[in-house]
Amino acid sequence: MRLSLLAVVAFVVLATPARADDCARPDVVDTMPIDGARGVPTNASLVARYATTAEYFGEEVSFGVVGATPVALTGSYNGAEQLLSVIVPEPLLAGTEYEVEWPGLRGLNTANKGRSRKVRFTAGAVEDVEPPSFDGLVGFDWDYEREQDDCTDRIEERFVFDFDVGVAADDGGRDSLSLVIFQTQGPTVPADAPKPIHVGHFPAPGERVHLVDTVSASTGRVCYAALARDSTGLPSSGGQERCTTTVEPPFFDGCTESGHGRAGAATALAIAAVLIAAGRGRRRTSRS
Amino acid sequence: MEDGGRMPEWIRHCIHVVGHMRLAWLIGALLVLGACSRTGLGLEEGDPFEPQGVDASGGRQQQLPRPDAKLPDAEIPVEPGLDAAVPGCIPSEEVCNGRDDDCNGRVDEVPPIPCPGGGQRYCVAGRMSQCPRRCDVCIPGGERVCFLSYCKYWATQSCTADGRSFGGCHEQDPPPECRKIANDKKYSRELEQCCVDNGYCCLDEFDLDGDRDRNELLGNCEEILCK
Repeated sequence: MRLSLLAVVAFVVLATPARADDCARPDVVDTMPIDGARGVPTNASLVARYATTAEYFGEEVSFGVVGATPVALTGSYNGAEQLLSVIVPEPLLAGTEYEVEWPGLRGLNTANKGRSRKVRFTAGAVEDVEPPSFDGLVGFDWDYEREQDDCTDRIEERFVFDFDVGVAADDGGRDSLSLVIFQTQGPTVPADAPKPIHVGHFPAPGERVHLVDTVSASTGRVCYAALARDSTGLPSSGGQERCTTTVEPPFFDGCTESGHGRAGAATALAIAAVLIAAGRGRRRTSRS
Repeated sequence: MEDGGRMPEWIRHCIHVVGHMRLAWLIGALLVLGACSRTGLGLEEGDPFEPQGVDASGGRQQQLPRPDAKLPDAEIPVEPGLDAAVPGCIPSEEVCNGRDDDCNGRVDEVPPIPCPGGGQRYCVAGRMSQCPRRCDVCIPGGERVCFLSYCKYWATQSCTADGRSFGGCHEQDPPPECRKIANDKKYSRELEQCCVDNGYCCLDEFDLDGDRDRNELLGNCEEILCK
């Protein structure tokens, strides 16, 4: 009796749709320079990218030489790209290792405070003056994915893209570059205005950049291009487009859109009916 | 006609000459057509470039500007200079068009344009990009009210974690202020109006504002809409 009660409670708890804690939490998702970067230009601005929901209320960024007392800096927040940047008061000292702690921010639609992130990097000896050179996107692969979403608590369908980037060089070093990817053609992109879809640290050699997009925004003929941005914000010249044609597979998603509980019950009833029918069939077969 | 049904010699000579002329005309016409198609004269009007880009799967596409393409005012080249770094290139002001206008060996090195809401517009693939937006469709975790034609008639949809779409429409109990309307009027304009009037963010399924857009949001949607 106790065991069955426990099983029922466990079933109810597991079956109840509950939002994951990760839904909409305004974490730090990327930094430029990345943790462990070397040769960071002496005039580099430091940048962190936050999740979409983040709101900046003047939280301080802790910055200093490793082992010394840090100073608190106030950042400048670009809400369109979710980038928090700080300009270091004095030029960085060549060969010195620094630590910056990006604060956790509050966010919209969530009670959770985002996670902060500590990053260490070493300054180089040069100043970043010239814009970077970059060969642009070399190619990409695409695939179709159905994954559990933390916010909707259901399976969402997405196209996933893995981009290979070309050779990049900059007087401030490759580690200080950021990558901006644009969708230049697609069902929701005007022909004359490429849409920015990603800003992040420049990938290491051989590393691919993984992005997702909705099926409606990336089915059919799609093209992408990218540029590199150096530590002072100077961009490389516009990259060449890479294109492909994607196809949406005809996956069957059940007959109802009204919720998991309902769909689950309908599926369970259907399975039960099939099993009963099969059982009867087997019995009939054994009798004959 | 000569005896035996044969044509006179001079008539046969004339026919022979005319035949050769037709062949020459045909060859001439084919040559002209071929030349036009190679220079892009056969492209549709208003399309200054052939499709650009390289197919990600390896298929190459051409990138040929139309010689007679009409460029927008901002892209009309300035008076050519004399210090071209690229042989055969006539330098002009660099603009965002996918070409090396100033003949320095680099394409489209034009400065970014600041956006009012933050971020910048960049020249990429020969066009100026859009300004960056916080999200595509909605702010992750935000909820809007949608309506169902059965049972409780009231439901909610959450924005996905990547802000690119809304999830499914999950049936909910209507809030107390709209419960009576849901019972009496069921799936109706009145229920949507009640949703809007009571400070919810509501899918405009009944086109309350009469703009024929039934996918937009009405009501208090500050924390859901991308700005």
